[in-house]
Amino acid sequence: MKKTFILLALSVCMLTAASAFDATVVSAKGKAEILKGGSWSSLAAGATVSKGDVIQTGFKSEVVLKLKETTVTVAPLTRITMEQLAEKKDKDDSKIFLDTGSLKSDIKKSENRRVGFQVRSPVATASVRGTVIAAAVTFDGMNLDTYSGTAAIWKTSGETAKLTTEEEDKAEPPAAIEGTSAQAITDDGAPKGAVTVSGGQSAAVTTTSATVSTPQQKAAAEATSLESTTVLASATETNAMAGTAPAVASTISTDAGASVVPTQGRVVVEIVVGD
Amino acid sequence: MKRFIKISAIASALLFSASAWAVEFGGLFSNESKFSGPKYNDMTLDQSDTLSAWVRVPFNKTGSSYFIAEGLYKFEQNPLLDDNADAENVSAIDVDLFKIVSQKATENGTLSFSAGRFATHDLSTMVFSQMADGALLTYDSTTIGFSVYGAYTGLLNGRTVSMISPDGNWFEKKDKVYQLAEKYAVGAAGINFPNFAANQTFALQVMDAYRLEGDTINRLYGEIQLNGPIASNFYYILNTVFNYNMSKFSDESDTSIANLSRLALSWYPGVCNMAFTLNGVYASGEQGPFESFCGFTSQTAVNLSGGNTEYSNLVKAGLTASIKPVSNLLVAASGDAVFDAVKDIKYLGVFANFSVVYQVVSDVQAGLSSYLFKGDDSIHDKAAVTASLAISF
Repeated sequence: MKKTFILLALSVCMLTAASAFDATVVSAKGKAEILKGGSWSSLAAGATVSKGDVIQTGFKSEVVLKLKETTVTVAPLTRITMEQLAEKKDKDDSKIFLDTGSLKSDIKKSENRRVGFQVRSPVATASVRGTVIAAAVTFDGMNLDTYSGTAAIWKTSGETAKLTTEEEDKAEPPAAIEGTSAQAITDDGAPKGAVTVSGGQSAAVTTTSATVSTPQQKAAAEATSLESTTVLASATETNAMAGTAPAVASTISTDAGASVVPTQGRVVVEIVVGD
Repeated sequence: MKRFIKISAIASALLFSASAWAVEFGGLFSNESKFSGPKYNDMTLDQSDTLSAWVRVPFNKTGSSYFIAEGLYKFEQNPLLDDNADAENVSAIDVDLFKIVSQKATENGTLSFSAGRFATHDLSTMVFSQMADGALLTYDSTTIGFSVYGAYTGLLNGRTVSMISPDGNWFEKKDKVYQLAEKYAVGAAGINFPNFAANQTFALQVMDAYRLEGDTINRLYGEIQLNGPIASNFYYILNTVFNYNMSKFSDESDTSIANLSRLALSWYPGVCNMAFTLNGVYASGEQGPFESFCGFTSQTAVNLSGGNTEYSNLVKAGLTASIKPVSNLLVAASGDAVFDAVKDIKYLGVFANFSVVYQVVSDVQAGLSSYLFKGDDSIHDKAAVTASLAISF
């Protein structure tokens, strides 16, 4: 009876352990700290990072993490929370909450396994599956750039770091859906209205926008605007009626106030997902 | 009088007390010097200086509700460098922005309400693109959006805003710093479906502009727009506007139908923010069931001397290219073939435009542009070089 109980307990432990994996610190430069078990400590190369840990970097600091075959580079002045590091039946799921700062990831699948990688911020969620993308999180929103493949992004609001439950980590992943729709990319987890961003395209979400700025809107804005304050307030306050298409370059002029995109600094996250 | 001053002081204190720490204000000075004429070695100089000041008062911590206002003074001197003409000095003052905005996030989208004097435009941006006194209600979500707009133009300064008069009686600008503009009631309603399929957006809009003085003129516009990606970095915008005009001069009534269509194909290579756009615009003349298209806001379709440069009786097709070799420099060039479309489609000439905008620092911008219209005959030839400078404070 005693032996049976011990064997049963060991099996449960093995099953539980098999549903989570740890990330490894490849390198840590400058002031890098980790919140583990309720206390902060310095982060050094070789350390492990588990689900629930919080990493933050200081000025001129950088941390490089390895999540299975994926490399995550945490830039200076950044704080992230590892919301999920789950090893499922044939899929590795990772979720990172980006509170502030910038993050670059080169995401690769392990052999014969699918990969799910999601970056969440207070205002948006970007989800990728076997694609090459760069997701940029600004101080008031999130930008997503793709280099190849397709990613999905949708607007959220007031989000904070939220660790996945044990049941969610153990749950069998849904069957892969063919195609490049938002539902296919996210295994049917994307809400209606999520925007897909294909290779070479960018999209953005800000706290004040009602929807995702589509790749077309973002490309047009970046091509025709300069960061400045030399514009009449009446021009920046022009109200667009619903559905107005983005401007095209044919209307560029040198009149005072031709273009303006006042900015207040930028925080960038880049996630590069490789096949 | 004392009571009025007391009440005004209390009201002002209440208005600003809650957000006095967040009141923003600023101003802009700009100069534009334009040399124009039938050719580059036969030009006159027009100069204008504008001084503006703005203030913004948020009503809550997030700034989603706020009041904003801007006033400006404009001084124009034209033409100079022409011994045969007397220089004409023109001054105008204007309040080009005076509105309150309230935004509320709902479960699935954002509801926004603006009231006062502000600029807006129709779907195509080629029919109505100006300020007016009115209100706009919009709702935007990831799956559907709508907008409702109503405005009045009779309180605007006719010296700073130009509206097309379909009966040919163009607004006569007099020597006043503030001259009330023509009286129109404008209303619009629209609905759009963003990303309804494969990231395509479909939008519909109806707009009506009814003249409130003089002969009865009612212009109704129905607009359809489709835009979205074709391939990775290729996008398109397709607009078509049907214009139904109803006019009554003395006892004679007249109706007409017209069309304005535009197709823009854009390519963004992803290097130095480059953009290439193929544009095609058709503004009907007397073709088939259509008659001359008549927009609302006076806009320059092509810069040429004499002739009609509005979006009417016109076909225009060409290419625009732009690049930002560094983040604070924007260079653009375009070339268009222009065709007269009063009845038959006849080649009119070529219009070329080049511009450079340099953001010296965040609050200083310099610009230089030049355009040339070379007609099939020399009657419509026109060239211009414009230098501009803007400084914000």
